[in-house]
Amino acid sequence: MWDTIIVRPIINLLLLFYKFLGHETIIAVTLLTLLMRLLVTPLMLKQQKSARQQQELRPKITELQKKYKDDPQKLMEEQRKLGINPLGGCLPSLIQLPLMIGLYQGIIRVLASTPLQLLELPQDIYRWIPTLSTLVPLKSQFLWLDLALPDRFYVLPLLVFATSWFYQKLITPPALDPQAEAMNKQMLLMMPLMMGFFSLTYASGLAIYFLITNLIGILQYYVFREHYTYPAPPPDDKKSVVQKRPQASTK
Amino acid sequence: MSLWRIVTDRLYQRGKPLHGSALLAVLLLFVVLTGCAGGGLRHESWPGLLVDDGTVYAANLERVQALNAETGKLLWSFPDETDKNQRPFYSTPVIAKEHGDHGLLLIAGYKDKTVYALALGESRAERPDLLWTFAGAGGQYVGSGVVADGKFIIGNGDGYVYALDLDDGTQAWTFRTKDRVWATPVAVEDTLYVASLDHTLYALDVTTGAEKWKLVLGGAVSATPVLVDGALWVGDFTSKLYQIDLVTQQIAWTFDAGDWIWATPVADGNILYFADVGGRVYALNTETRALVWNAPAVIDDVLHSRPALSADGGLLFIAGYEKGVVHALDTETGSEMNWGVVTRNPGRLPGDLVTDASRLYAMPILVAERVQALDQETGKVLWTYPPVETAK
Repeated sequence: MWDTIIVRPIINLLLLFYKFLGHETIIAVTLLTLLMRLLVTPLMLKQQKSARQQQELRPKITELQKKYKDDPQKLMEEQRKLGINPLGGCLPSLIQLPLMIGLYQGIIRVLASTPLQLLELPQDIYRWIPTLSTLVPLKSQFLWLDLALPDRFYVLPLLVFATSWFYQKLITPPALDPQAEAMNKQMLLMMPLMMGFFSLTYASGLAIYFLITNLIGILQYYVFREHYTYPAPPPDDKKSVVQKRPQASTK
Repeated sequence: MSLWRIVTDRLYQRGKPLHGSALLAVLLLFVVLTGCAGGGLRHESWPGLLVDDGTVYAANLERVQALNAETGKLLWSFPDETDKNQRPFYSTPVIAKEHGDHGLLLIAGYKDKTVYALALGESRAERPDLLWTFAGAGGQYVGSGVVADGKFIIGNGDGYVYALDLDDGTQAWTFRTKDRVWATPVAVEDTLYVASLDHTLYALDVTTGAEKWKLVLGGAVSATPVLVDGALWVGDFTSKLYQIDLVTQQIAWTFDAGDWIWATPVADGNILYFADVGGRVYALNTETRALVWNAPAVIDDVLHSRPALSADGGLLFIAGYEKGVVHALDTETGSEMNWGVVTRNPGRLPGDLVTDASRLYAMPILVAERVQALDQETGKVLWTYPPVETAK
């Protein structure tokens, strides 16, 4: 079911891009990643809007929590009256996630870095689209890279690490308490490290996908910057520790 | 109360909205689980085996092992059990009988990109000595090699074909194709035929490696060409089986199969048996170019591996890849015999089947029993390696 609905359409779209874009795997991967990111941009913006809303209502929520600390039912009702959907921030992510995972899996399968992966690829290709079968295996050479193998000069893993770190730093919302700040700091290091590790271990075509995703994400941040800005923390919240955000405007 | 409401209420009570980072962590966890599951060596290719002189030589992932063909008893392993290096072996071993005192066994590692020549002992049970190695290739060895003109000639994942002197492993010549070479080269007199994933069949001078001619086919070729009556027969990823005339160096005839042809065909006289990945099995008379059976036999599975014929030619054995079942077809009619053997565990069968005078050998993956010997007549499992009781 997952393969039929998500992964196979992505694989065949990638093959079509490859076919019509001069048999260049890297261009096909770039375009598909761009397309998918554009597709999920409205969801991403909605997610940011929700996060902003949560942040703006934070003083009010804190006040309600103090007021109704012994009456959780009432607290719940009052919070609901404020019009916040607590899943509003993550629901768009939950919708984006299958697409991005599907894209990741599709790229891995098309690149077919191992013989067994190529052996399983025929099952994913639509036979009713003429000539798609003639494209396999995809051209894997690009500059010094064999896209089906890890980058032996470690350039891509380093680029992925750097862009992941920068992108993560841009999109991380300000922390409202020390615990959240610690988590943010941890994620700011862990995420790029893990992405870098994957790029070091897996096919460089996948690292290209990570890199392009990060670059598009960074570009989107600057294009839609106002969606990423958060209100100042409540002055009476003694525990609040607000993380400074790079170049974030509060206009 | 709906599940949705329960979840949202719980979140209100906690007063902590879900954090975006947590979702990213979930994504990463997913990536880790899907990409890095399992420890040790993972199967990345299909295992190959060879049966010769009462001995089974199996490229059994961590090592190449020699087993007694009758009993399945392990005779020796290379590298031995104490070797900690992880270098999977998939390429089907090859024996050069005319070289060395008692013949050479040629094996090729997958990730260590190395060819090993082992000098066989007087008895096949005797552990062979390492004679030479060749580590000059840049890619992985997937397909097997051929012995011709005093050389061991094998294609590599770096797109090159390497010809190695059998005496000392020195590189005699190389030939570059534009993509990976997974098919085993075929030597016919002084010409070597190499099929590549670059859609091309190359004819090379076996002594020098110089290109004599080449023929561009419709799709990538992973199967080894088969020589029948002076013509090469090979299938490709565009669902076509080609008859290539070696005199005119042209495609003489094309057969349209129902799906990709991945597996190497098997010939019995002028009857060619081959399968497509969609589960269709064909028997083709190469003289009349007519199908022998009324319709292709259909097996409900993906077919990737080379079929094998029983000793008397009456049965065609074919392995279903995903379900791990070996099927036996009547070569006269194409009908399936009441013979099918279901592997005990949910293993897969990507490797070629091999037969000798009475047994059929298969190498399932993702199961504990790496080598299985079956009775050709009954399909009964005669032995497994490791044995069932120790494999679990």
